[in-house]
Amino acid sequence: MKALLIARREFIMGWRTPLSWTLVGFFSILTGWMFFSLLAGWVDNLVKLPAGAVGEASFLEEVVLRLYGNIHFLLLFFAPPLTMRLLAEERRQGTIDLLWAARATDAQIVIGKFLGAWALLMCLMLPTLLYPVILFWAGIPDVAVVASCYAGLVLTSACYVALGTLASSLTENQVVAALLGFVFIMLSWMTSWLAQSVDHYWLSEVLHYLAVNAHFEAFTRGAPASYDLVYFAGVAGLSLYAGVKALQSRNW
Amino acid sequence: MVQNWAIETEKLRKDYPGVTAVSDIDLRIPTGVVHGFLGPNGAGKSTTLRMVCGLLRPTSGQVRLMGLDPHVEGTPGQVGWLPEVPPLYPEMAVTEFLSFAGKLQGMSRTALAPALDRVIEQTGLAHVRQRLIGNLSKGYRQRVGIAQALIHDPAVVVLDEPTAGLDPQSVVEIRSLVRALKGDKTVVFSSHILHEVEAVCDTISIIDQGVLRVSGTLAEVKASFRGGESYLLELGRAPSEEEFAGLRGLPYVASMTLEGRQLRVHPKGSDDVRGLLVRALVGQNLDVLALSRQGADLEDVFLRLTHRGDA
Repeated sequence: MKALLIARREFIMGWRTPLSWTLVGFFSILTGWMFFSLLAGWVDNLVKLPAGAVGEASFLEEVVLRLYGNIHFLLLFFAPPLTMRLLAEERRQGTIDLLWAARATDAQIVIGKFLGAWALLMCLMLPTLLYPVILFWAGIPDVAVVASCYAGLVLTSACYVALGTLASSLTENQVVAALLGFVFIMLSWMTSWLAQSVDHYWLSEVLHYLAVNAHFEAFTRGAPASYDLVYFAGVAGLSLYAGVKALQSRNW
Repeated sequence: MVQNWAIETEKLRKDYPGVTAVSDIDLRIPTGVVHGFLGPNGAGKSTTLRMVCGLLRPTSGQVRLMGLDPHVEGTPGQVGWLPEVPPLYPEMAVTEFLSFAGKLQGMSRTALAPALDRVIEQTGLAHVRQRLIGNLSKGYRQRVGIAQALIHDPAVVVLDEPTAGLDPQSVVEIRSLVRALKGDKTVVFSSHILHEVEAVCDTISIIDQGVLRVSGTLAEVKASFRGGESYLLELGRAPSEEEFAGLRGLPYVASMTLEGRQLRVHPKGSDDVRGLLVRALVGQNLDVLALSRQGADLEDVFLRLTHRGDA
């Protein structure tokens, strides 16, 4: 209950700062431009190629999957600014005392902050729902793949927000928290690049499993497996657990 | 008769790597009093109060707040806490913030509405209740901080330096508010301002370097500290420099000041040395026209216990 109360406050107050609106604006502009560019590029190809050479599968690859891949990439830059203030600001301003004095546990505080910021990030992506609506209206329906892409984005966002929450629990400086959050998310990407450069089979497999993009791609293929869900739940859960431990360090 | 303690600590200790912040504090604060918690900067006041309120886990020892251990059983709704920097969200309006604070304390919607009206009236926030906290003056922010500590009607209110940095009018208003809470609630009030503590508090504790130096009622603390007494003597003439140096060297004199013919003497220890002193003065051909004994004031006690005095 206290976690939900904290989450609700976090979500509502998020919209009272110019930062959230700025991020929504930039995110919408960037994704809108991407959608337009991908669509225009695909139409150009369609005109240049002989009739029948470009099919629905190509449209899916060239426009839909690329669009959601790019949105996923953008989250790398948009999640840390949303999460940087979560716990860092509470500790710097001393407002976390209000929560502690009300006997909110560290777990309730961290989960509440996480849920509030996750909901904010979801709202950031809301305007992108317009693109599949346009595509369906234009008669190019592929509901299952688009839904799967959004499921992947929702779960990936949870991981990124959890990593950002962890970063915010480690420092009282918001800028440091944003940079740390970016580094943590970046590390989750870099393991896939490392996996490609490692010769050892098992090490490569482990690194590949640890890479967030590999699991997101499973969703864009429309074929997520249970271990993809385990990965997202595991990364988010471990990050939040580490965040709780960071808050508890005041007693060490 | 069994004494009801609002706050009771036993061998309360907090260690950080390489430093002991608070060492074996045994503190007992009766219910219904305003208790002044005194100490210089870095003495361990805030650390002790945070442990009492359950915000910080002690390394060892026990705390009982209204009979409950805040670190084991919790103290639901029993304590209101205002840290030195009020925990306020500047982007929230006053009533919105107080509602949030009340809900966090587990208050129902029906209990919240009258509680809001009560604390807003108590703290004089009626005409700023819809304003954003970020736009309020420091004095009003402090009042909002106190209001959040009172919203759930706790039995014990702990205020960490609530008047620090406020203008004189706000200080007077907050002191009046604290006095008004007396009886109904137990208020623990930490401060650097000694005359404020004397004016507001029934009982006091003085802490220095993490050690509780003294605790009790104001009268008890002053009475138990006879070493803080001084003698004020009016002499027939002002002593010469040699005579003054000789008097200052007397074995039972801790310090001595001279203003014209008025001599103030702080004796060593707690023995009554007035007779010895008069004989020594007369022995130097100095007539004693008047002698009065002055009790220790809180400042004397504080300075001596915290080793800030020159005695």
